[in-house]
Amino acid sequence: MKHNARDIPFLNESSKQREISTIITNGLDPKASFWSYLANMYKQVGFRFMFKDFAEILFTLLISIVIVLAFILSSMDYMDTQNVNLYTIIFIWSPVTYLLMAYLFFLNQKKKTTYEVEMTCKYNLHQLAAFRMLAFSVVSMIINGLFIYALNFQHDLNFLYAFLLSSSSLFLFALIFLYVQLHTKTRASKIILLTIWLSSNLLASYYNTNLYMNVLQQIPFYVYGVMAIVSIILYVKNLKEMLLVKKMKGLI
Amino acid sequence: MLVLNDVTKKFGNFTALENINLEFNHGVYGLLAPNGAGKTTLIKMLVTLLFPTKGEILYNGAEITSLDEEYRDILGYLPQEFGYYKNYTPEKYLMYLAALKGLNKKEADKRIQELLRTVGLEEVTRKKMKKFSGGMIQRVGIAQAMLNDPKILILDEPTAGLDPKERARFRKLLTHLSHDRIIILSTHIVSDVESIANEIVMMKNNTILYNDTVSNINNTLAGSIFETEVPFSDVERFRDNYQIISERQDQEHMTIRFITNDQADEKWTSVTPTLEDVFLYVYEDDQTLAGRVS
Repeated sequence: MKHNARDIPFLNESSKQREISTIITNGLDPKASFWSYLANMYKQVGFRFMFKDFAEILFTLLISIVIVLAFILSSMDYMDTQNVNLYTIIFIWSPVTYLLMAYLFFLNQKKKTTYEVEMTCKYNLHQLAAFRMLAFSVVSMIINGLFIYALNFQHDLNFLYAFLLSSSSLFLFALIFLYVQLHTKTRASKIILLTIWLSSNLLASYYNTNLYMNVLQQIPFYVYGVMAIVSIILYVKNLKEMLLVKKMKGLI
Repeated sequence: MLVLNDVTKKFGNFTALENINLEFNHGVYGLLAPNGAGKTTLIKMLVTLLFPTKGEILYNGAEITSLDEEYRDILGYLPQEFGYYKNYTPEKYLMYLAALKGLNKKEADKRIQELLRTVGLEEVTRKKMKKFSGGMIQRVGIAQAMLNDPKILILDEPTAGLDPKERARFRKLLTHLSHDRIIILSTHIVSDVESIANEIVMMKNNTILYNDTVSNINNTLAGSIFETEVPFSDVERFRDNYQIISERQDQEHMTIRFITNDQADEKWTSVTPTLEDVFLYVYEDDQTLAGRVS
């Protein structure tokens, strides 16, 4: 049978592109968004196993609260309490509750012999960690809020200002910590970061109280608000990266 | 199909594996080598716990790292050191891992009971694992690896701690499972794979030495394996002259199985080589086997 080349309906460039994208769209599995992925994972794994160390977390949290309170009370014996700036304490300690909950889990988990089996499951520990870190950051924000609210009864505090300060410090730290977690493998790097955060803030506030307080307090409300929001956005972006990039670098 | 293309793994200056090329289709593959030959490194790369320094690992044409959870979803893995939570019962531990593997509760419940029966632990489903023997823990490990009915089942030294009866049951189970999946079984115990593996992968000097069927590998020593009876007084001299595979002490003499390419003596009986013979011959210079060979 003789074909006439002129009878073949050639596609123009835009039709070709349209056909290619149709093939790609239909051929590839739809990728779930970050939020729907996390929601699916929670639905699948459930609270019971997602937070199977719930009692451990609660215990760690209570211990940390006791330590913080003991630290504040004992420091009052050595310092003139009038000079202790509560905003400084809020700024420094806000991330610690988060760190205790989010990182200790990872640290403990890596030491366990179950690590290899858990890392090769469909939902591995990095994916669980991404969900847990998000949950812990929100819980930390609430706990810090309650802490500030309680302080508000005894001290002259501006609740909104203190809460914004606490949240921006929490997410700023969480963001830096997550960045370090994603780009370094050693445990020392995380410990160094925590030490730098605590010591630099404590030393700055101790040796140059006025300057430190001025910097902290002269930053207006909205700047803290913007700082908190930007940190949250970047934090979530890095959590997404934790789901996607970690797999490319090797797990152990 | 699971394919390794020119895979090299280095830890700093140390090269653990070099230019590994392998192809796995449905069936049982026995990864056979002495301890320290790089079996576990290879397996850890196949389960995405480690990544190659060079080369690629593909499943059905796609890089396993890019498949991510899609790959882990079809993977079952029993590590060499299977960890467990001491205060968990096997039922609870399997339920936890089933959740991580994305099985729904109803489906998981049914599957767990079925698997615990298969591995002979149906009597102790609600007993805490801290009271279990090594063999029982290993059986929980085997059950967890099969929870998601994996298309790729990778088992690192799965028979460690199992008694002969359990080993036989385990081999039967693998044969039953192998028709529609890839099973990779790493071991240094020849009898674990000799009867069930479709292909044997033997590793030496950080690379693949053999990747063939048991009979083809055995044939590499055809005509070189003999057995003979040696008087006790001549045993030392005989040992110095030939590479001994095994010795059996009888009343009047020693029956020795050995390898040689020399012209056969009339007192020698030529025997069919086994995988154990090849294994001992290939790894003769291996320090971990030194005690067995000499």
